[in-house]
Amino acid sequence: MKTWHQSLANLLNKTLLAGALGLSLSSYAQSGFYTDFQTLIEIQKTNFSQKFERYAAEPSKLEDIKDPLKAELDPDFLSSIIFNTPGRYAGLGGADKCGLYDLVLSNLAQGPNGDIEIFLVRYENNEGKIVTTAASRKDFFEKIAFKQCPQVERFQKYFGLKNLPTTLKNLSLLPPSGQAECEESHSKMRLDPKTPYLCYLSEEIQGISHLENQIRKTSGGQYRKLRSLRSKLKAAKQYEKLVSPAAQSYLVSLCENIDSKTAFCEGFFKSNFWTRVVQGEKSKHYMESSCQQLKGKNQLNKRDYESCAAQFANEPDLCSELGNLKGDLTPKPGCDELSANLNLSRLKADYEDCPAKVGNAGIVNITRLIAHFSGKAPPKSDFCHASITAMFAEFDLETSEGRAWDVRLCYDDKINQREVCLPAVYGNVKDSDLSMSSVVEKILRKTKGLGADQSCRLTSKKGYRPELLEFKSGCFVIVDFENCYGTSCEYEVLLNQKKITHIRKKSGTQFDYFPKDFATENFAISEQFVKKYKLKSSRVLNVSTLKRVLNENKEAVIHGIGCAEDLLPGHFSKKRFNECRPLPFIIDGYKENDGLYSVIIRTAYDSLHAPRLVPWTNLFSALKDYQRIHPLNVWGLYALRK
Amino acid sequence: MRLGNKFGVLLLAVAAASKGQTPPVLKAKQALDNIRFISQDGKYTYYQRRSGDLQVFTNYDNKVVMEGPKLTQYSLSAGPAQKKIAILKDESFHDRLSHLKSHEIFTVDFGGSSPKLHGKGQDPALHQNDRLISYYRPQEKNIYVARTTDGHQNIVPIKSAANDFFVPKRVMPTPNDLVYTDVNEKGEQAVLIRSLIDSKALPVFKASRSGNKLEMCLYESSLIIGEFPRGSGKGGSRIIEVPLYMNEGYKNSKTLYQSQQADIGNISCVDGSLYFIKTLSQDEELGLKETEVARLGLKDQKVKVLTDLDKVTQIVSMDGMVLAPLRGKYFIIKGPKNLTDDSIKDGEAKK
Repeated sequence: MKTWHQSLANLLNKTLLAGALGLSLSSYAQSGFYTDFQTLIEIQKTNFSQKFERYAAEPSKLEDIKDPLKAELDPDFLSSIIFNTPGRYAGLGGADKCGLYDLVLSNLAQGPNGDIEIFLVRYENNEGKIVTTAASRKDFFEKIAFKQCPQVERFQKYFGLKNLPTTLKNLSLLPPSGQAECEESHSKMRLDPKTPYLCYLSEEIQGISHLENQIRKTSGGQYRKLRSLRSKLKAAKQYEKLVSPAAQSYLVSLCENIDSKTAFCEGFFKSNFWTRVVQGEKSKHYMESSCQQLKGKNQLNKRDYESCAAQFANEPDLCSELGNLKGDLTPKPGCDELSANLNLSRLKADYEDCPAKVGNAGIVNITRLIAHFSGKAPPKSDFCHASITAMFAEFDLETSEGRAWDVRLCYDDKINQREVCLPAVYGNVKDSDLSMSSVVEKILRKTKGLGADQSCRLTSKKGYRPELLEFKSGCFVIVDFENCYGTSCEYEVLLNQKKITHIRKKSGTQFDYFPKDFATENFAISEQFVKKYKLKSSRVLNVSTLKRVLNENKEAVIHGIGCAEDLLPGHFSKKRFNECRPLPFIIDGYKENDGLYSVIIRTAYDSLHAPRLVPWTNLFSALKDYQRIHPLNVWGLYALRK
Repeated sequence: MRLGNKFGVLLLAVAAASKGQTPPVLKAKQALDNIRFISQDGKYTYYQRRSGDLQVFTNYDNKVVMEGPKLTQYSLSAGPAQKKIAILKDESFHDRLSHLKSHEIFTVDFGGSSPKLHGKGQDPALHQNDRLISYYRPQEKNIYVARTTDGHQNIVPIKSAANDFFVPKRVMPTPNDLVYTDVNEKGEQAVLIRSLIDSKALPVFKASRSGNKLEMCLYESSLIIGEFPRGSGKGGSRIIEVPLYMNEGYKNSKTLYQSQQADIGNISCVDGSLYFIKTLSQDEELGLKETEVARLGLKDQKVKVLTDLDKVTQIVSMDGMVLAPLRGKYFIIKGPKNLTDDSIKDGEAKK
């Protein structure tokens, strides 16, 4: 059985052939293919518009249809739709008449005058005669199209403004995270009957500035036209509010390239990442610290980001050193390489961290994994390192009662004759009992009778000015910022300007990232993490496994430990026999060319927003060298997925 | 054979000639994984045990150098004087992955087993006939220079502004002068010379681009400095010689080597030669480099690629031997091929 699309194509071919034959006989002296084709279009246009005007003069209400299920659109009318609809939409929505109705209803299918308002229909009437008539859009859909294709009527309701928010919530319109996922997504959307409606939304949103321009140019006297344009603009702006920037970007790319999988996917992985940030598709965190440094200010507006994006494009070296004030590993990749790497990266990174200030690579790596799989960013804090260590400490206290996180503030409980130690982080963290001030307050309430209404204020050495009245009394925790890290910190506690000496600090964070002996295997932080988030963890022994894991699951990432000198030989050198600096890392993407592979990797020393491209051979050497010195000969590369 | 084929064969031959050979693999009596230092004549082998001990094996005799908690990692290095060995003892190697750690640093006599503690830090290096030892404390951003005899110390602060993972390179042309690398807020590295007597520091050389790595070694009365790009990798690599005497402001220098490629560097100077990792070709798409060990003669300035290992990235020198570690093996670039000879040396038989 021929599909609707094939029938139309055949009809078109016959028309073209007949026309071409006729032309070739009549105008042989001036023929060329293009000239003939243009003339053919003109002939079609003229013939059709004559027919159309004839029927449109007397439209029908379609009340005499014998069987609506057997009604069809007039073949010449169909041809005119094919001629006037953008070619990329022709294959959308499936290969039957319902797909065509979706295209028409979403206004992607066009007639010679734009949106189709009058339809030429052919049907058997109650008297048994085959008639052709013109019908309004409303009558055609209500009396024929919705009866033939009930789903089309449902979609009209789903994509109406009233139901649109609910409809969009149930759709996943996120950019793909890998090439295989991208191709699958494109194939799926091409056959999805909802796609024409999504492309309609996209086109309306993209058309906002054009509509605004048209309104500006239309004189006030053209009341009806102005009213129509304003109504369209209002609807388009409402759509814009409902469709997120990331989804808008995805739909633009999809609808522009619905007929080409290659072009669609290239748009994601070869596009400029910085533009995607400016357009709101990707988080501003990726550019924030670099742009702040470039512009010399903390508060950035859209224009600043646009300017930074332009500078990154023109001066690729900029990204290597910018945004380095937290001491992350530099030089970072250049802007072009960074853009390409970030396009292929999937690790959730909509927050800031600061590896150098945390001071423990194991904590940095695990916290990044926690943020990725829990979907939650670390809690806010004025101290970047406290935000990260708080997330780690909460995780550790919950899973192993603080076996790994051993930063404590201690005092002697004289009544019970014992030492009491309370877990803390070096800084104040929103809504966390681990905040340094809160823990100091607790201790001073027990030991110095600090009032319930009194609190301790965290301040820097520079900020503490004892000559000012506000510092004359009260409780202050004075931190030496220069010497304050996630796991060790120099600080002082003053109560009414007297130094508190009975609060002792215990600074220690020692834990196995991967198990180092069988007796304590279950206490390794990687094991605790997999258990808490109910993940599947499997060894990645070769590049084929790496590729398969990342392609099959778009949230999967790979973590491991290798020798830094092999991972990043330009940054770390081996000077001694069997020297190795163990460095945890996360891999969340890869690149392939001619059977060779490189991975997109963030080591625990790298900025969260600056992944590197490391060849598989370097990674393999790093893992091999670490394996040789590990007590259990652990191959430190594991895939994690839900 | 057609002309095209002959030409192709000729090209291959030329290409093959520009690469070295596959060097022999280092073999030792013990499993290499536990070894931390072997003397070039094979007489002394320092190795660590799972129990946490560091031991020295010589002439069928095992001695404990020091004890430590289980799974302690040791790192050993010797200077060219062959009088002492510097030992770094890391007791939390597997369970505290912190770049801020400072470890106990010892020295022992070459082949000896009585350690002397000098302080805590990272990356110890011996200088000036092994009479001085320098090391770095990352949390303080200070270089410590101590006498191995009486422990007298000097402290040299560095900026290390742009990168908290930066570890300064150090050499000492005289007992009173420390030459070291530092980095500013823009990521520009520089070589500075500082007098330990009056604490005055002078710049010797500044990297031409932000992000470039500087490495150095001493050769006769000159400082040999290698500059190797990182990051976007543009600008090429070079090795220069800067005379340390009769060179006001260190303005005079001589270029010994230059390349358009971004070499990895990781230099090692042994017996008048500078060994480094040279990049022969690069694939920008995947960040892949074809890298080999090359030798630069410091007198004749001739460069020769010594290996055909394709992906070697590091050079380790150990008691005058030059080794290239790759995928768990050590390839011998310079040194004896076999360290398995454990026969008692003349004049050293046990009484």
